[in-house]
Order: sequence, then C-alpha cells, then structure tokens
Amino acid sequence: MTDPLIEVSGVTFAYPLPGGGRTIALSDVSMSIREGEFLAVIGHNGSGKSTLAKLFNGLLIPGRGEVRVAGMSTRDTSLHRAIRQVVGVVFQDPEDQIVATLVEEDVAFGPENLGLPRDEVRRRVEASLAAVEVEELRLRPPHQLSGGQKQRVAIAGVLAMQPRCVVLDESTAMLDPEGRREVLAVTRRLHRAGTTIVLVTHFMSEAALAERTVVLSEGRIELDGPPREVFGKRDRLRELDLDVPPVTALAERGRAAGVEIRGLPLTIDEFVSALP
Amino acid sequence: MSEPIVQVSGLWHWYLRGTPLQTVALQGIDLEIQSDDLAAIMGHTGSGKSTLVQHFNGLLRPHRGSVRVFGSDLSDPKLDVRPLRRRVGLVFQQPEMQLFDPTVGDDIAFGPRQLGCTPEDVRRRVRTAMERVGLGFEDFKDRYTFGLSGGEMRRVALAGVLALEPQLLVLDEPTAGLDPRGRRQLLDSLRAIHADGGMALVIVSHDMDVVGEMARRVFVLAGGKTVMRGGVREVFSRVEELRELGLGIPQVSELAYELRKAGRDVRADVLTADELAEALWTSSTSPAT
Repeated sequence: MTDPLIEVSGVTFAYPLPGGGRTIALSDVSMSIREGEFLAVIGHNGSGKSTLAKLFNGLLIPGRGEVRVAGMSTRDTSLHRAIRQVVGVVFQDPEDQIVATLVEEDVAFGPENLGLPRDEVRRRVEASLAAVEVEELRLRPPHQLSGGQKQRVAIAGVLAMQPRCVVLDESTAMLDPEGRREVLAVTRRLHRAGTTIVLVTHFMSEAALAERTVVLSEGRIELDGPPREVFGKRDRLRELDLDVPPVTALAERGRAAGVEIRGLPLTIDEFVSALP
Repeated sequence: MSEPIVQVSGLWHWYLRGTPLQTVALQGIDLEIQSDDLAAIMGHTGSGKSTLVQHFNGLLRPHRGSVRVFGSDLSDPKLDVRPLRRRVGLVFQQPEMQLFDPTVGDDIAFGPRQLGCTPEDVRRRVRTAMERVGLGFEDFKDRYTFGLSGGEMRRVALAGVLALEPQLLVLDEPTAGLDPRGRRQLLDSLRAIHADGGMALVIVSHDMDVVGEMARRVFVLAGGKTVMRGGVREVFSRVEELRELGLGIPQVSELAYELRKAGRDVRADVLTADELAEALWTSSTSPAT
C-alpha cells in the first residue's frame, strides 16, 4: 500500500470574525487522498468545503492538526513552493485567476516563475493548452473568451506546473451549460491520464461522476464513500438538507410506486438501463 | 387583467458604435412582457440577454427599433427615465457585491429614502420587502451584512430592489453560485412574490433547471436574435435545437428525451419529476396542465 498523496489529520480551522471572536470552519477533520483518485466534495455554503480545498495546498494552514502533501507538512512554509507544484487549485471565477494579456503568456506564467529553461516552458505550455483543447486560442486576449474557455485556460495554467493533483473549487458554478460540459470533460480526461482530482461542487450530478464522494456539514465529514453508497443514504442526506441527483430521486419514487428498478442509477444512462 | 408593459420591436444595439471595435449585440429583437408575466430569457453567454434587459429601465437606449416600457418610448431622447426606474427593478448578477451599508435594514432602506419616502413608509417598505424574501424583520434588520451567508446576502440585495415596489422585476442569473439550499429558498421567495400579484417577473438565465421550474413563457436568444419563443413546455421539447444552441434542457426533460430515444412511451413536454414519474409509472399518460 502506497502512502496517500494528501493526508489530513485531526484538522481544525477557524476564521477570525471582524468584531472579535472566531467562527469554526472545520473541526477535527481527518481524511486521506490516494494518488490517482477522483474525489468529489459536497456540502452547503459554510460547510467547510472551500476551506478544506485551500488546506490541500497550504493556502490555509490548519489551526490544529496537520496536512501533509506527498509527505510534506503545509505548516513548513519553506515547502510551500514544492507543495504547490504537487497540488494546483482552480477557483470559481476564472476572472480572478488570469493574469496575462494573451492566453499562452498566462499559461507560461507559472513555469516561468519556476525559472525553467525556455524550451521546457514552451513544451509545458503546448502540452497544457492541448490537454484542455484551447490551442487555437493561444494568441487571444483572455477577456475575449467565453466562461468555459477562460476556465479551461485557468486549468491549463495549473497543468503547466505539472501537478499530481488538481483541485477544482466550484470551478463550474459560474459557467453556462456548455462551459460546464467542457470543464467536466477536461476533468475526466485528466483523471484517466492519472491526475488526482478533487472536485468541490454544489451539483449532485457532478458528484455522481467521481469515484468517491465526501459530504461535509458544519465543518465535519458526515459521509465518505463511493457515490452509489453515499447517495443510497437518502435519510441521512435529507437530515443534512442535501439532495441526491435528480435521476436517483426519480428512481426512488418509481420503486416506491412498486416498479422494479435495478440498482441505484446515478446518471441518465444508468436510469434508462435500470428500468424493467 | 393582463396588459403589455414592455414592447420591444426590431431592437438593435451595438457596443463601441462608430469605432473600429464596433460589435453588434442585438440584431432585431422582438419581445413583449405582460403585466402578470412569469417569463425567462435564456441564451448562451454573449447572446445579448443582459444587453436586452438593460433597455427595460433605460440603462441603455435603442440604437434602432423601439422599446416601450409602461407606455414610455425609450427612443425619445427627452424621456426622463427616473420614474421608470421605480417601476422596473433590475437585479444584476451577484447583487450581493453591491451591498454597501453596514446593516441589513439600512441597506434595504437606501432606495426608499432616495425616493423621499416618509420614515414610516420607509420602515413599512423595508419590513415588507424583508418578509417577502424570508428574512425576519426583527431578526435581521440590525445584523451586519458582511456576517451573512451568500444566500442571505443575495436575499438582502433582492429586498433592496423590492423595497422600491417595482411592477416589473428582472433578475439576471438569480441563483448562480448559490448552494442548493440557498437556491431553493430564493426560488420559493420569487414564486411567492409573483403569486402575491401586481408584479411581472423576468428571469434571465442559462440554468435550464431554474427556467423549467419557474417560467411559463420562454424567449431564447442567440447571436443577438430571438431564435425561439413560446410556452416553457413547448420550448423544452425542442431538444435538438436547444442542444445546437449549446443550451441543453432541464435534467428531467433530458431524461424524458433519452427515455423516448430508448423506445419508452413518454410524452415530449414533461418538465417536473412529478410529471415524469406519472408518465412512467401510471397507466394514464394525459398531460397535467
């Protein structure tokens, strides 16, 4: 058994409040992520999921407990450069993440900052643009792109650092349906190519695509398992005021009406073939 | 009695008009909103939706064609649009970014105070607006806006517009970025506000599930043109056309479509999970209208 890529042990994190005092975002959370895993994190706003995402690469440091990335503790700020080469984060609003005036310059920004030789920067930019299928946009100013294109450029910027893990923190929330489809397709392709994926999302249908779903509520991990197992715990989810994917809910109603439905369908395709 | 309150015909609009960077945003839009409407304007990013609705309260003026709102002709350069802005409330994307007063009550009171309402009237309007969005007056009026959740902040911003007591409320992507609970609460509030009467609601969105749940009539924009219009069921049953426009359909409609493709006998215009369950699992397949 290999060591986990990310190991979170006994982490508590609190934000200071403007008027004094603190608000607890995560309390005593432990989890580990294996290399190559595709993990979805779901929960309401304020459940702690974005805080967790920011702990994965040292953007936030736990108040108590420890986060280790490929064996390196995020507490040691001298390791942050190395840690951020292992774990890259893509945020919700692509506008916040794009720095340069041309797409290819934006993607080159990270590797150039690493002080890599020109040829290596070139090679990485090519590969990253190809991975998210935006090669034809390389000489365009980012502000002219659609939301999905911008978000894919932001992902390319992260890929150019050759991370072993990509964290998408609600990266599809602001996108239109086509933009969401584009970003999800890229995510699945990266996973198939061996990259570890952490997808933080509000969309239950997106969480259903992962191999493992972690449900956070009020700063604690409430459920953790394959989506089929997690979405099968309907009563617990209802207590947490969370939904299941719409097709799963529909299958449940069919079963309640006495229809024999095979298994627990999580996607439209599964639903169609689960009907008698 | 419903009557037309917005009449748009042959509307054209250009950005950076008269410069080498001129781009066309609207190319001949026709659309009408009724006084009791519950309508949606859908379209891809860049389709012209936001440009169109900014004509409804005179933020933009027509470059060609005409826009009449509550009888006022927006092509008339002498038209004073201020009275119009009281009757047409525009809620932009992520309106919580526009909260600026430290407390909830003061932020919502800003508009009515600007209108010159009496202190009693301001208080009444603030109380009513807060209740309509599900924020208890006593509970929330003195709370700091920065300490609220994203969903609560968005409802404060909506209450600020409702306190102007508009007759037409236009919301641009009202649920974007909200979590499932915040989304549900906001949509419930909007449904109740519309059911109270006296206000037309126009939702601008590319979230098909929101449109399917809320709207009765739908206008689809693409490349600055109105490419589809009709009842929400009719529009969402045109699956291939919507897909070609990069829009997709509500999940339930998509499921119904795939089931039909797989040879199941499911009618084309189902919109809600209830209807689909009924279509699939009861002998009667008559549409519930």
